Amino acid sequence: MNAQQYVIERWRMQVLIAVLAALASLLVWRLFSLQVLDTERGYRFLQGQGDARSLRVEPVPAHRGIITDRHGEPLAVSTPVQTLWANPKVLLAEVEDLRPLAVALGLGVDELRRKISSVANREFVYLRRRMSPADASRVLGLNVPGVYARREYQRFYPGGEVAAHVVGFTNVDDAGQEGVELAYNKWLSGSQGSKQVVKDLYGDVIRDVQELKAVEPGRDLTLSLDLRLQYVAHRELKEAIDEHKAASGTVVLLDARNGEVLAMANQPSFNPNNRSTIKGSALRNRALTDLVEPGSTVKPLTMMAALESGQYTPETLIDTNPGYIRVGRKTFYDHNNYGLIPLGTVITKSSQVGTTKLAMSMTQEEVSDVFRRAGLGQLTNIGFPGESAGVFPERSRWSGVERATFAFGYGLSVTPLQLARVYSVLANRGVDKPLSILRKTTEDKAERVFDQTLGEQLVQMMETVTRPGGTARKAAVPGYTSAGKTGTAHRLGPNGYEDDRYVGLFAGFAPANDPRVVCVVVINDPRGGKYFGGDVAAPVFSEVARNALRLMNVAPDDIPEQKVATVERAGGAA
Amino acid sequence: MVLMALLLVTAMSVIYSAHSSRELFRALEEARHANNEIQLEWRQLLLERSALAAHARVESIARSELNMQSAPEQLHVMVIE
Repeated sequence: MNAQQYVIERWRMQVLIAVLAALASLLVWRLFSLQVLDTERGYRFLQGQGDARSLRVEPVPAHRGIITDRHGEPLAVSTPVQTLWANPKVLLAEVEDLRPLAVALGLGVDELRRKISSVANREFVYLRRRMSPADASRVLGLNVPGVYARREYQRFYPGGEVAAHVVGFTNVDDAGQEGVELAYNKWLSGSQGSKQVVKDLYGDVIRDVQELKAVEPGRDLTLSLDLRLQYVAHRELKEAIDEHKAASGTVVLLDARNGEVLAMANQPSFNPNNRSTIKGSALRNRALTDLVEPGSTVKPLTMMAALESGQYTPETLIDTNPGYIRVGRKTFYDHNNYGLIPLGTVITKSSQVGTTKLAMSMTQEEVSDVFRRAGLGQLTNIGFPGESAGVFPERSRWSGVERATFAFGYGLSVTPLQLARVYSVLANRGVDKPLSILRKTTEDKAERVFDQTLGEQLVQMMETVTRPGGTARKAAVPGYTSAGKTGTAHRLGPNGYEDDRYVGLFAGFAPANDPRVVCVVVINDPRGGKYFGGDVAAPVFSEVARNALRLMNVAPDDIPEQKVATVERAGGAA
Repeated sequence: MVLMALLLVTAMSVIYSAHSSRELFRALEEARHANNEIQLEWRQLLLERSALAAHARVESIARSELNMQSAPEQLHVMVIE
């Protein structure tokens, strides 16, 4: 046997090794190019594709802040509601009997079947939107395949129509549409955050990866409103509107000490929780948008101009004989001939003749200047959308009639809120305190616009209005001194002033000696027979002020002597 | 060799810290979620309370069911200090 060995040529082994090494290095290269190199289909691309299939950026919703009144009573709160949706494909394939689902949803079986069948090849249909969490969990408790819930937020307004105009409302996207909701939308809504999560095939979040943007929750807002007073104002206004068959009306209540708005009620109103039946005209916050001619309620300003002119003191006698006065081609009448009366009685009786005489003895600029300093013709800057600045006539030449009518409140228009500001200035003996709808935390600067002594004299004149002999006995607040002024203006129609349509006003404050509340009442177009401000608006003032002073714990300052007994407090017992 | 060891150590600590940061983030999210739920519940209770204590409701119950009325002026006794 030839033990000749079969010699394997060396190169064959080497070739084999080289080929294997080449294959191995090809693999390594491929791995390298996939994992390390950033080529067109490199690791970045692959990682991106992987992430695109599982990593998701989820928004983190920011809760809208709560709006509360000054005592923390909620006026607007967002709470979660559940929106139920279904995947019709899954639902139709896997569920035989739709009845339990329909019952839990509160729908008819046929209705539900139609709803789902009509979109049978889609993957999404709303079953019911905005259900209460309790109802929704009953549906979800059935564990029907293909039925899912999504959380949404809905705004609730516990105050309902009572505070509707001030608070306003939001739309379905939770953005403010009216009132404070609109004015402070940014503050309330905060900003949405986002985070990265890993989701599985079914779209459920498996793991939170990282936070991309921190959520900034909406901040809460405390209004200066007092819901109790707001309710009183709303109730009294509504009663007055019904009683006098009036078209609309407004009550504004201010804290005399710092200019905070305690109540602002309008009629007609609306229910912000159910907006399906709202009429556009009911949405208006009339206290800020609607213009009324103030009528006699501005006579105290004319009186202030007269006092400032130095021609008059409270003791000066005004001759109102013979009960009417001719200016140009017009004649202005008093209800009676009051004869020779002291200055203050012009206010007490709301004498047109007296006011006209005062206005005629001054230049128009002297009068206009007082009106302007009291805040007329300017926005109150309360921070509300849609506020009107009123109409304040500025002309170079004034006829006698124009001067006279301006002095008793025709030919200019104001918003009820502006009028409230005027009376806040008068209540504070000439100090203008900025109005605010938010609760004030710091005392902001007040500005003196009238002389203190003159302010005091004017208040004394205005106190007589609610006393026997005044035009507004019905505005008297039992137990307290009060001061104010009535107004009755003809409504402006398409053909100028309408003879039989009126606006009845009352503006005043209480207690007169140390005012705590300022209140303006406007009753628009009363058609129940009575229309004088002293008859339709004054009783509302009385009721609102009485309740406000009681709730604010203000000590009565006008109790007949015989009703007061002085009692020594027993030692130690409190 | 030392560098190699250091490299391993730092690599491990990177893994560890990434892991722990995820753990912590998860815990944070859980806490936030709980906070959220509690807040929402609080809001609902707030609404419920204010619905039950609404002035109109209290007034109508006081007047119709409990037959209450405002005391007439003569019965008022005020203590003023």
